[in-house]
Amino acid sequence: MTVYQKLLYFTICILSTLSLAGIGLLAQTPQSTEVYLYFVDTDNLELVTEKRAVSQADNIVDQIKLTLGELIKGSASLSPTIPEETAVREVFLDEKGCAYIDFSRAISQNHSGGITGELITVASIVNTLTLNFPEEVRKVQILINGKEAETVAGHIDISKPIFPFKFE
Amino acid sequence: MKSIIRVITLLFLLTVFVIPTVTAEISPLRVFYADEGKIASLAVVEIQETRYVLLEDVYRLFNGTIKSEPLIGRMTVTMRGKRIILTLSQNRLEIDGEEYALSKPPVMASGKAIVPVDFLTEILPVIIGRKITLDREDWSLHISRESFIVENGSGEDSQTGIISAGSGFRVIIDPGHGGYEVGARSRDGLLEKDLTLAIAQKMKELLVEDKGVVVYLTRSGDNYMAPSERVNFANKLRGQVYLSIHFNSSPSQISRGFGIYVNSNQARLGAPADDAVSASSGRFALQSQRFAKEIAERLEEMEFSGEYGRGAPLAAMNNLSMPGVLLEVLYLSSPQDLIILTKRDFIDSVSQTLCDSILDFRAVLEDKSGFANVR
Repeated sequence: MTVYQKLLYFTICILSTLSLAGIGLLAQTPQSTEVYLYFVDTDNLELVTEKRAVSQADNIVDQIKLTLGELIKGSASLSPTIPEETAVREVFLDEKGCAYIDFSRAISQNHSGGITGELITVASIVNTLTLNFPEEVRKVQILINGKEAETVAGHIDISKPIFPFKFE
Repeated sequence: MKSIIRVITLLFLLTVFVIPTVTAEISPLRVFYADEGKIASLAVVEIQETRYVLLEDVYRLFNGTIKSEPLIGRMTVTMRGKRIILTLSQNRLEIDGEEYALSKPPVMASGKAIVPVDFLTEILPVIIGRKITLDREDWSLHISRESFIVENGSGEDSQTGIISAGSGFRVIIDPGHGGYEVGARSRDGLLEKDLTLAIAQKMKELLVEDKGVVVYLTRSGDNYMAPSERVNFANKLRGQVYLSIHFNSSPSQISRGFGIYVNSNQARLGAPADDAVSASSGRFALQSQRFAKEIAERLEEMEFSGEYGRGAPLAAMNNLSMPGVLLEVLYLSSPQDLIILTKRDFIDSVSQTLCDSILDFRAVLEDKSGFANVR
């Protein structure tokens, strides 16, 4: 074996090792990020945050959809705030910091009702988004099935964008 | 462990919600008059999350004058032919003898009187007779050409033609939900929309015995009605008091008892009742709070417990031009409350109690001097 052949084999070995490592890195790419989701602590009737890992999306709209998907899924230890059959149909963001979230009709039809339950639903959506996307989302308008709606469950006015709720 | 989590959550919320607002710099509020462009800039200060403007900036804008009585903290502003009496540290003010409320009282800052920004949107329209909107995004105030009409709940000159024999105290009762919107439901299948209608109908039956009262129900059958339609109905009939009847539901078993809500732009969770009082503003805020108190006192006589005066942005009370409250009688999700509301005479006794509280409230309105002593 000549010196040149040795050098060639050596180079091939190095290159293949590097490319394998590269493939390994690529396989890991769906990176995750952490979000805080508002659920109900039923012992004290208050909204509390739960930290959860979600995959890192390419853009903010997809990240909002993933976050809301986790919020609808519910929590292992806390009570849900949104009927589980609810789907997020579309998300729009305007340059004034308003997020328009279009939910399927289930958010209203499957809601268990009551002003207390409705306040919890609206507050958990608005505050989860403004907490996790403070730069992009300053207020939220809830749409139902592609249209503006007066309420989710008959009490709280959602016909206008809602600023985050204050907790006492 | 749980308390540690709560402390961490609290610290986190403080960081997110409180600290940025304390340090926020407020730019001047730009004022636009119809299509004439910018007419002024008002200096704005923020104290404990409430934004204020200088009272003198406001009346000077309209060539008004002021007479101050520092010893008693009273300021009498004259502008556009109206006399406005404000008192330091009191969230009640008077325009030509009519009472109005502010979200926060006028206070002194660096020797000058300041009023909360909602003075511009809730009070100024009444004084100058123009619609005024505040764009919080753009931080600008727009005075429209459109006129702002003060609905006078006691006016006899009804243009609707609906009230022909309208010589009594006009009570609007709104049975919550209806039709496909069933509202809350109990484990045994009791529906909120049925209970609210049963109470409203019983109340109407009881109240018509009083010749001085005229009762209107927003719905008398099992039909859906949007919240805005309910408000339009009540305004058209020039009601003098509005009671929206509901039953509550909560994911938590600790939720029980009645809750009496007033309309407020400020969305708060877990607000103690005392604090909620100052969260509402506008023409009927004080009267609505008083009505809430009358109902609470009567329900407490029935040995119900609960809370009153909490503010929430209520769709069924948006643009309502009369005092009104939304009453959540009891929780359909509470086993203890269900024991009470499945008693045979529940509908009759609650209806009687609510009628009594409406008559109590009428007496308060009729006794003007009595109302002046509220709060």
